[in-house]
Amino acid sequence: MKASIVDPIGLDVPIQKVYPSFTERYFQQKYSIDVDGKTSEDHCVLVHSNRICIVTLAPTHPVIASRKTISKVNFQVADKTNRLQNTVQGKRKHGAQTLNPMSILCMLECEDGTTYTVRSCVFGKLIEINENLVENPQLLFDKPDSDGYIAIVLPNLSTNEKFKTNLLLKEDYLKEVEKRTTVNEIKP
Amino acid sequence: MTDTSKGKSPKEIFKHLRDIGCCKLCCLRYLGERSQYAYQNPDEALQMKSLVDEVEDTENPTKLKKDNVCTACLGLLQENFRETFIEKIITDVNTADYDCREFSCALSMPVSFCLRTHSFNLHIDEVFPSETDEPAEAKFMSVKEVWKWIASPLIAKGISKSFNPNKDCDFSITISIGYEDDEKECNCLMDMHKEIYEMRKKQKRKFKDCVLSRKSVESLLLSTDPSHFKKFYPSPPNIPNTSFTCSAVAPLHNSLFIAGRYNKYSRTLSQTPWIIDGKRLMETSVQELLCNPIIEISKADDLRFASSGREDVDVRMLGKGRPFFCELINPHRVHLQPSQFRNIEKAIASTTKDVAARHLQIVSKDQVSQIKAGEEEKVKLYSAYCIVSGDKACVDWGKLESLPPKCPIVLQQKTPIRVLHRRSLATRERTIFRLEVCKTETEESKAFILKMATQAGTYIKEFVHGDFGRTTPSLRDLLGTDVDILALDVLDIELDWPPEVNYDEESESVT
Ligand SMILES: [Zn+2]
Repeated sequence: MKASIVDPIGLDVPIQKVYPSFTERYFQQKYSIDVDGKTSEDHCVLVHSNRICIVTLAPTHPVIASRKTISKVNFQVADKTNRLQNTVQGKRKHGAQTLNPMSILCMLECEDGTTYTVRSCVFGKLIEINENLVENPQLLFDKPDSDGYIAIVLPNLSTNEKFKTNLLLKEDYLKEVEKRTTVNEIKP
Repeated sequence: MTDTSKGKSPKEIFKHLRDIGCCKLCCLRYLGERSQYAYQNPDEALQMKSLVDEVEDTENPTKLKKDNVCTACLGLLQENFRETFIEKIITDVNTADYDCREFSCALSMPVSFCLRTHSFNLHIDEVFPSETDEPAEAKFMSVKEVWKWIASPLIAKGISKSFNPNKDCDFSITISIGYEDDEKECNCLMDMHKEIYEMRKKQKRKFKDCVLSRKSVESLLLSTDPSHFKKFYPSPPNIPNTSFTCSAVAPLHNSLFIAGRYNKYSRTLSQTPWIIDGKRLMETSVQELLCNPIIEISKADDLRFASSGREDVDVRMLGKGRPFFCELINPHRVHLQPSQFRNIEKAIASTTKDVAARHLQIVSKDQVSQIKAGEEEKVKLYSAYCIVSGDKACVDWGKLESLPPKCPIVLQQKTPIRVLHRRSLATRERTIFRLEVCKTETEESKAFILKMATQAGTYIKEFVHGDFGRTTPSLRDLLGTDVDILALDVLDIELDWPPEVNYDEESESVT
């Protein structure tokens, strides 16, 4: 028996001018705009094909858009709730802190004195908080759609369905952002 | 027959047994007979015991109560019932068509049979008290034992297999005996042991129905005071209205394990059938391509597939292949020859280009446990097709070449996001033992090939792209540039299992 002739690795990979990033390849980018009614405080939710959600800031969020320097990411979101103390066990993630779209994940404190509240945007279980932001808050500014992510959430599909947790698709998000700039341009 | 009873002669015992409705073989049992030959030739045996006067009537069955179904064995040991029963067993087993050479058999008796036997034994102990304390159930051959003595040579002949009375026989025929009045005769237990049935009623969760198992009835009866027992069940037992029935003949062969190594050449084939909500997401799988011909040739009822790890749908398994085995449940063909395995390998090769099987062979259960033991230690060799993915990125060969001397590289890997929905979250330490950088055979200048030897359980894709900084260090960290993995091959799994088949030698021995 002869071994089959095996094609060298990579021959079946189409050559591209620009290769999509890891984020673009595996995640659908969805958005929640004007979170908590605060204009431009847009969040981004990266939805993996396995439904896991990565919550982070959208490029239009003031911290990113206005190139702010983050001095601290505060995970003590309530007297008794510290997101860093979240622990999960087993395949079903027992013991996780539960989240609803308005749950606070952290507060961003910027050098210019402004603070921003980051919210979950989805119903689900908190699987992981990005501990690297404690030591290196600026990671969120540098790489919001990869290493600077804020939290990993296992969404509760039925609850999100029931309450119609509205996340915008990228094209709709861009349209909304477009509207916002036109409005701003008309104002003055 | 001398010492089994005090005072009473074998003649008296024999007469009494016949009077209460025992068949010839059951008489022999309660006379203490222990030779297989005697049971196979009961008339001769009875004559030898000078019970010939009574036996002369065998020629004329109307005189004695011979028409009745034996009160001790429900007819199992009675010639007329026995024969059709054994014939049915033979037909059923032959229809099932097994190629094994040995068999064992087991009778599964109805619960009322325990009551009947117990009642009978109590009666014997009472009428013919023993000099020893030995209870009747220990002193006399059981119906099952005698039945096997008689039936096993006949079944053996009928199914062309030899009888193996030992526990180690891989092929067993379980025969379930039914009895029409079973429930009726068992009902007395509820009055005999009211408290137990009450208790069971309360603990409905534990005992879904109030039915006691045969085992529990047996032990219950042994601890029941004989006089209490007799209040609820006649001793000796009543003569049955009907004989036993054969409710099932269930032949079963122990699992057969077939092992080998497989290659997977496709990037769109999953290892096991991929079914979500009853819908098949892919036409076939490695498992099905490998196992369908194996099931076919072994004529097994079912199959359990296992392998030493698994590769993703889009990963090829090259080199010597991945060790795997399948457990064949109730195989009807177990004498499989090397040439048959080579034919399976060829058949797989002719049906698909996506999968190949090599070194197929029968392995023992002990060998199967070795594949599991090897899981943790085995080293895996990979080849990864990587690209640097920045806008103006280009491959920094100098930097790449600086990586191999850094080995071994110890990684801290958090459970990858891509499997986090079904695995628990943990950080695991994994080692990259060796690295080798190669040029690709493609036209892509941003691409390079990374070959690596890693500890089992290392997530390669995450080692390359870093998984949002959740695997550290990653290739991305080491190179200081975004890098992605676009294709992955497993080149080898360093586990010598199962033993390699020497193809040259085998083909020589054939010629
Ligand atoms: Zn009998």
